[in-house]
Amino acid sequence: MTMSKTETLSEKNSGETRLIAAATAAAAEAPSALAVVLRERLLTRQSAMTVVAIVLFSYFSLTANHFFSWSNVLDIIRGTSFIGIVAVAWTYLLIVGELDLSIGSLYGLGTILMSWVIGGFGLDPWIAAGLTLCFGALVGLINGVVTVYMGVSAFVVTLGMLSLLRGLSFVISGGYPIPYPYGLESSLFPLGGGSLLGIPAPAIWLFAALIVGGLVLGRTKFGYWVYATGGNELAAREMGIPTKRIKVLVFMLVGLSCGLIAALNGAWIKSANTTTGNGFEFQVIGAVLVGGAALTGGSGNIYGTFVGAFILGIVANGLVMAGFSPATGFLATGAIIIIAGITDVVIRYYGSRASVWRK
Amino acid sequence: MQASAPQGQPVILETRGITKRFGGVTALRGIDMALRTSEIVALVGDNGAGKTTFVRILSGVYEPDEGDILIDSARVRLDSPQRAQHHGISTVFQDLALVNDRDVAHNMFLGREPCRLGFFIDRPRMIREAQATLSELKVRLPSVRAKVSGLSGGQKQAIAVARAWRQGGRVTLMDEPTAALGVREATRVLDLVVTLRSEGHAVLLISHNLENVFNLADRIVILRHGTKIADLRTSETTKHEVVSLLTSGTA
Repeated sequence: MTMSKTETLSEKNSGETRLIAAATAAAAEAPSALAVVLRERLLTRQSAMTVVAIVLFSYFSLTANHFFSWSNVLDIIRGTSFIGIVAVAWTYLLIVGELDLSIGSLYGLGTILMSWVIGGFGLDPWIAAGLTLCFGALVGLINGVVTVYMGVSAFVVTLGMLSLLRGLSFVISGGYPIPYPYGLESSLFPLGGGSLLGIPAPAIWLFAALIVGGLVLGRTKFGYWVYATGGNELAAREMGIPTKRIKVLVFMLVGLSCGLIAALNGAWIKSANTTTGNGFEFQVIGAVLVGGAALTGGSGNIYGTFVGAFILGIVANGLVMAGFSPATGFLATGAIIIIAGITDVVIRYYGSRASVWRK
Repeated sequence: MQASAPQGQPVILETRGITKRFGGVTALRGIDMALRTSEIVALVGDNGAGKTTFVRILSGVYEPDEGDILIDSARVRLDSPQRAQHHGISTVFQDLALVNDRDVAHNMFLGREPCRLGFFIDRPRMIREAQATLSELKVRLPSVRAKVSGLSGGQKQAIAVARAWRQGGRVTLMDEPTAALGVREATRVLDLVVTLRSEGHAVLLISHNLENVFNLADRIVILRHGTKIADLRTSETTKHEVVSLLTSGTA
């Protein structure tokens, strides 16, 4: 296979001829090339979980009374929407290889903060909502800077933040619910509690988050850099991708998503409660993990998170509709997360057989 | 021992007194070097001699603590890989700098993805250009849409080389470009190095393989414990001399 210098050069000049030759060769190899790509695209955790979601939905539709109805489906979606919105941002975070445990506390503190500035300082709900969003992003920025630039593990930083923010909620509220002033009206409130064409507002926010989140992650430069950062941070940096800045931005995105649902929750129930968001982090992380994003970073997608969130929503709702106590929901959620993890190992085993195409 | 006699070709890239420390360790000490048009310079040295650090400085990953980098006799600051690429320096890194979970097309454009409207990835263009570059270099792959994780070591290396080639700079840095390759694939990569030279590029080649070094390089620069101890014209030295410089620091 040795080529002389002149040969190499002349071949470079006759690039067109060789492109045709290469195309012919590619056509001859087409089945294997197609097989490789199809296997990579189809034999994924996301496809497996889609099947699981359909099976679960069918099962509960057949066995649980009133499960298969439009109003119950809307209930499932509404119950999943806040989890899903934060799970979209959390998917980005897991893909860049970081995590954030403080989301539930941030959500809770956000709702307290919003009630506090409306009830205590008489701020307009729109301004209060804006402040809540900014506060969420600010906490995300702190989590990100301490983790990424100071090199403290995200687990440590955000576990601390989980406790710190929950404590702050109690300090501000004194442990009591803070209702909005009686009779307060605002054009903000329908954004959380209203509905459009029969679809509850939170569900619309969820679908917007899924679509925008999916497009940005899958189709834009930022999304490509998110995958590159989590997939191989050194390689990304060697090729000039500002990996640290990407990570901090994603931390801020997670904080912002918590601020958003806090504002929507306030607009919806017009009160705040210190227990809001307790255990929320497990539901979000569960949805992301069931959706197939790997804890090692670099993989996962928004479609998977969408399916993951709905699997957990379907099970929690379905069990109650089938007459089990809500507590069984926790049990089932835990089991599903573990089973999903096992599926992943199995798929990776068969997926790695794609290596027969190696040369 | 300093044998860099004038060679008639213009200098593209020059370093003066490059020094780099990591904590208390001095990885490079006052490195002076020049790369000329149509020249292959081999950078050799034992493990830990500072070769990879030097490449990382020239490719914008690290900034030197002291010293200057000049391109076309003008002092430049290479504070990011993008800046280095902008100045025409492309690099094949030792670790290949590939993301295994992404497909070949994305890896070919890692960090400089073609976009529409500034942020939407121009996927058709990415796939088209990746295919064109790979077929021009006769790299055979199942598909540019396949993930890198499913490819062989040689195929991965070929992608890294093809990416540097596509960037089309005048200076190409190659850190052990054939380390993971079989004989046939290595030959192909080395042919590519020769092609680069004949097109007027300057190539800085790090290699442990003295056979390749003597076959290809016009000059051999030897690093030892972070210091340049020799800069020899290949035609005026012998393998014996280079080996003894590498191992004992004296000829």
